[in-house]
Amino acid sequence: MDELRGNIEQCYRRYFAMIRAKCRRVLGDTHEAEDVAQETFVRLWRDRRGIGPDPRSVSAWIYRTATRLAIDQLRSRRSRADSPVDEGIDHDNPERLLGVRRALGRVASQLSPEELEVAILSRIDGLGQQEIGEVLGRSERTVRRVLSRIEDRLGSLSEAP
Amino acid sequence: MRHVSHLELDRWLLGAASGEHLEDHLSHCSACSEHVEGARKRLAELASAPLPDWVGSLAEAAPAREAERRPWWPRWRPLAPMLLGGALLAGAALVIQVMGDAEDASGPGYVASKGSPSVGVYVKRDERVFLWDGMQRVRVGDRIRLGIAPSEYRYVAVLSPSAAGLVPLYQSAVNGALELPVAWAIDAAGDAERLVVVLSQRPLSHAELGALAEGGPGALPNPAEAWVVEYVLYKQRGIE
Repeated sequence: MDELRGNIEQCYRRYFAMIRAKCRRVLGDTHEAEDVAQETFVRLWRDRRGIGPDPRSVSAWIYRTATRLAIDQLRSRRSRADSPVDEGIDHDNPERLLGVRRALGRVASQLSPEELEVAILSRIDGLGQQEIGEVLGRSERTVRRVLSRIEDRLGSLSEAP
Repeated sequence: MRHVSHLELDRWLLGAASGEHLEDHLSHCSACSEHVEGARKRLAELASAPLPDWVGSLAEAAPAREAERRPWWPRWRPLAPMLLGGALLAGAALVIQVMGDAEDASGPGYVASKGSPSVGVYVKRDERVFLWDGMQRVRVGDRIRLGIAPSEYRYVAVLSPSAAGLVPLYQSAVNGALELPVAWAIDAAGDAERLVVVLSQRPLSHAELGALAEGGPGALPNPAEAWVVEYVLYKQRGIE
């Protein structure tokens, strides 16, 4: 018997709902979000020893990794020139979230990966500068500079939550 | 109104964020409280859903070195049943409260689909009870309690494998979902605790339980008679 099975199950039951909800917020499409959430969880389990057992570290890692994998998915979507129907908006302000997501989709090609990460964490997940810095391992000053650059180039996208 | 970030709300749900200002905010902010309610509902749904195949396959793909058995002596110290009065009763109430939250969100807690038992490992630390995530380290003094949805199985056994042999911690007939009426305390000895949960269609002998703990359901002539899961809870040492 593989004795890790129980640990994996507990990890899945505690974190996967959070991962999936995060991916749905960013991607909108349920199927894409499920794929990205699974990949995030697989990496979480694979890298768990480096992440450490503190739930604050785990949650920061999840937000960082899920955001990056979702960006890959967004870029892949753009290269396929398809645009899945937005769905899976269950608890946020649907109009605001939809507006931000569409705006990000339009401008994604004009932003660097770092800028896109910051934009998603700020405008979709509602993180403050300090939280973004913690998640991405950047100083608050750097985050502020990136946010300012995004605003200068693209406008506010939408009001923050 | 400035909302709380999704990260902070998620951390609060994990028991990893200070609660006072959040609770105050949630009492005034319908958007954030809706997020929390939605997240609770999804957690409860996931707790009772069958485990997807792709999650199970992660265990099969785990490096063999992780599955090596670590020799340690049994450290589980059965506590008095938590149905007793006083402080222990308060502890039991806390555990029941956590399970009650899941029930509020999606019907009875620990109701799993037929053929898919599930086990929730709950850790009581000071006055807080949380669902163990499979990775978090436990601390000396933590108390562990199990919630079990046995599906079609009729007997449960909880065991502690050790170098000295298999130590039975709890055995009983079951009839539907339950939280076990015993808890176990983590002591300072050893690096980790191992806990094996066996669900079966019939009472099993000690030898059969030992074979199951070692080899899984395939150790029985009829593997469908039993379901086995094992947990390894590593201990926190000093400041980590």
